[in-house]
Amino acid sequence: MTKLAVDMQQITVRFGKVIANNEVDFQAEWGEVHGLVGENGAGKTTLMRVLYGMYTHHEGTMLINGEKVAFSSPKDAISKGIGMVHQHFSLVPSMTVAENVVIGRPPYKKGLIDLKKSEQIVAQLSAEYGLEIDPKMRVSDLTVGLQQRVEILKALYLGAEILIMDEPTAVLTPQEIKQLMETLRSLKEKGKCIILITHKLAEVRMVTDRITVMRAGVVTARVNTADTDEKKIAMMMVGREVILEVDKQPFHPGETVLSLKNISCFDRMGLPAVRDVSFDVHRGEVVGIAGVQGNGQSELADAVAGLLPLSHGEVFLNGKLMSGGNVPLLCRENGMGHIHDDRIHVGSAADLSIRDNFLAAMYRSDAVKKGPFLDYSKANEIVEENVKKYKVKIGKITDEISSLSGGNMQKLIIAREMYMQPRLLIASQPTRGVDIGATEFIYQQIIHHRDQGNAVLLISNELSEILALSDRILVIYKGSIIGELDRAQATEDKIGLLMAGIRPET
Amino acid sequence: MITASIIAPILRVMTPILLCALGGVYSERSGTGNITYEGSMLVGTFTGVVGSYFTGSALVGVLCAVAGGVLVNLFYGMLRIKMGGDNVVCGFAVNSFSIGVTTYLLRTIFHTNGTLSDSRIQGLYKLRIPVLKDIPIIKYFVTNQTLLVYFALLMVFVTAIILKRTKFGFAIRACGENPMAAATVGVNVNRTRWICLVITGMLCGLGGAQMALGNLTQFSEDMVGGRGFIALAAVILSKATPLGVLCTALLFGFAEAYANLLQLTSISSYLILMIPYAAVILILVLQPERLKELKRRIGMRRKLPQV
Repeated sequence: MTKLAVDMQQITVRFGKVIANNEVDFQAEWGEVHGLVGENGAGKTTLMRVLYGMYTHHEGTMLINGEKVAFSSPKDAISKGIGMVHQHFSLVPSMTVAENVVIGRPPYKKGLIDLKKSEQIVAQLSAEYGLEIDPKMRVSDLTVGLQQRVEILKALYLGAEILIMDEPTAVLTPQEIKQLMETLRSLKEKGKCIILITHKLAEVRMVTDRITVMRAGVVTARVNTADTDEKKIAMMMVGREVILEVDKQPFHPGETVLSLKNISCFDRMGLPAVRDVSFDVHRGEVVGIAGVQGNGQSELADAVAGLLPLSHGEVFLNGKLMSGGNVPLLCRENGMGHIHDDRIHVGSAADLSIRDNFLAAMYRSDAVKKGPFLDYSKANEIVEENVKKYKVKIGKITDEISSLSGGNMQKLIIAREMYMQPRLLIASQPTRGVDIGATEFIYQQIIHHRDQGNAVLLISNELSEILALSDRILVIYKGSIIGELDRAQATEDKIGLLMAGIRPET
Repeated sequence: MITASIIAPILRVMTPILLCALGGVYSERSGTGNITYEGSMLVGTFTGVVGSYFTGSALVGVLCAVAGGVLVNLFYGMLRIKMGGDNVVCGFAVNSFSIGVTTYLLRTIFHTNGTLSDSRIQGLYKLRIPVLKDIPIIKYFVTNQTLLVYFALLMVFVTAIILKRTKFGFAIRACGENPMAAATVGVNVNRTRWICLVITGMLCGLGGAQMALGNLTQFSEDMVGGRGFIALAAVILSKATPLGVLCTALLFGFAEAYANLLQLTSISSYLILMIPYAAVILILVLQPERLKELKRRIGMRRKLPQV
């Protein structure tokens, strides 16, 4: 019998009173891509950090290739051939690719680090594993996808035979995801053991051989990928059936709410981002903007909301021209809600409490005022009520918002934007980095808002999301709207071609 | 006018700033947020003079200056690394403390106010290099300089090699830019930062020695007079690269030498003494990055290019 690459038995990890992993058994074999799936906070990353020697206060035993091990630091794990690619990369931006790869164990010549040799080593590694990269490039000049490649090379250079990938696709574009999946497959063929932590079901199906499902700190299932489907995996993750297809009322668009006339703008680097875009959004409809990330959709949302200055064109909200000194305020006063795609930096203020973040959109309203002052008892009441209504899991409303998980933070932001009953809701990447249970809830809220006769402008990189929610779909490519489709005519293929910049013949 | 009288002092007045800024490179690149160069240098001048005064040996004076600089940085390290204080608050506290403690000790040990100047203070030996002193122009640079001037120039290249070609240098850069990256490859981030602080202290102390035992042979209250902050500006301006620090230090050295020269004219000496500091402000404003930013903003208004 061949030995297991990883055999973790009865692993229990506690943080204070919280049990993050409860008697977890986990096995992975050589030459497989093993999916470790579960919702945010299910304990996947914790379990892998134990394996990588980052957490050492656990109970239970670990065997690597049949040999019992006890790690006191990642160094020990590395020496046993374990590598981990973290969600947030651990690269030094000002160093070159080669320097970053060899930093843990550089080659020497005459007492000094041999930079030429380092470059050769990296070139050789990248050829061997098909991870094309220029060793002389500075890491700060690389795209996120290439930076991840450097991380993988770094782990391989240190002799990783077991490679842990922690949510590797969260930051990647669809093309980069495809390339990464190829890489994982080729590493597998070289006999390595890949552990893929994820909550994205499409990837699980695409690349894994077997999966271990975790929920609330325990393993709920171990299956072969071939024997299951996305629906079943979702059920195992969430513990109930998940419905991402939402029922909506028939499509009866009303009067125009938002009207864009030939708008153009530059991005924050001063490059043209949105070029001559015109369209309307009506009451009772969801207009979806589909496109590959980086084609100007974030800037389009910011331009509509007044967060980026227009270089050309006009934005009308309820027939009123949005221009003047404080456009974002004017937009809000005229019934715009905005779920920003950068919820950490723009959508919320990390150091403020949950309550203050909720109040940010409404503190000017008389509902929470007593004379010139804020009426905190009333505000508390409103916040408590909405936190409950939107099922946001929090401690106290006075806790900092940064204490919330991504999904819960997003739910809170949606609660805030919905509270003002906006006539126009801009939802930009509303479910990015959010787990599947919360995604389902957010979909329901957006459709509910539309059904009440409001307009929604949905911007998303996830095609499935666009298809699930939109009544009309516009495709953005290099800052221009390249095509428009009714939901009825739209298929993944048609949109996919437009996203790649290919217009249909007719 | 660029004449012998301005060239000759450039190296001399530049050296304290250069030593200090080179020390700063280590602190800055390892992410300590250290701004105590001013205090370190000031304590270095004081302990250097004290050491020389009591032993009559310039070498002991230099060693004492180094020790003084290191002490100040260890103090900063305690506040910042051990206790997790804010770098600006801790840094200013240490700088203010340094002025206070040197002034206090001057008055209690030597019972004098203002300046301590005494024949018992042994100054640094000044080199005369036989061949070079006969070459035109070059001779203005190299005659009558202390060993520390050459040491400072040497340290520029040593520091560059350490940062670029040694594991310690890699560790420093990783600690400064992404401590996670350092930790995951087994670098002890705090220990690296402690070592960098000690190096900063040593070099700032040497800078102090050059001021108090090389350029002058005396100590006066607050005699560093902002040169530590000029060094800080040099570090920030050059993005903490050794060669960049050399260039900016040269520039400030030139400004100071020029100011010294102009002092002999009828223009108000207070105005003239502002020159090096005004140069700092001017250079900070005219950073290439900032100019690029300005250009970009103007560029935003240009017409939209066609697809």
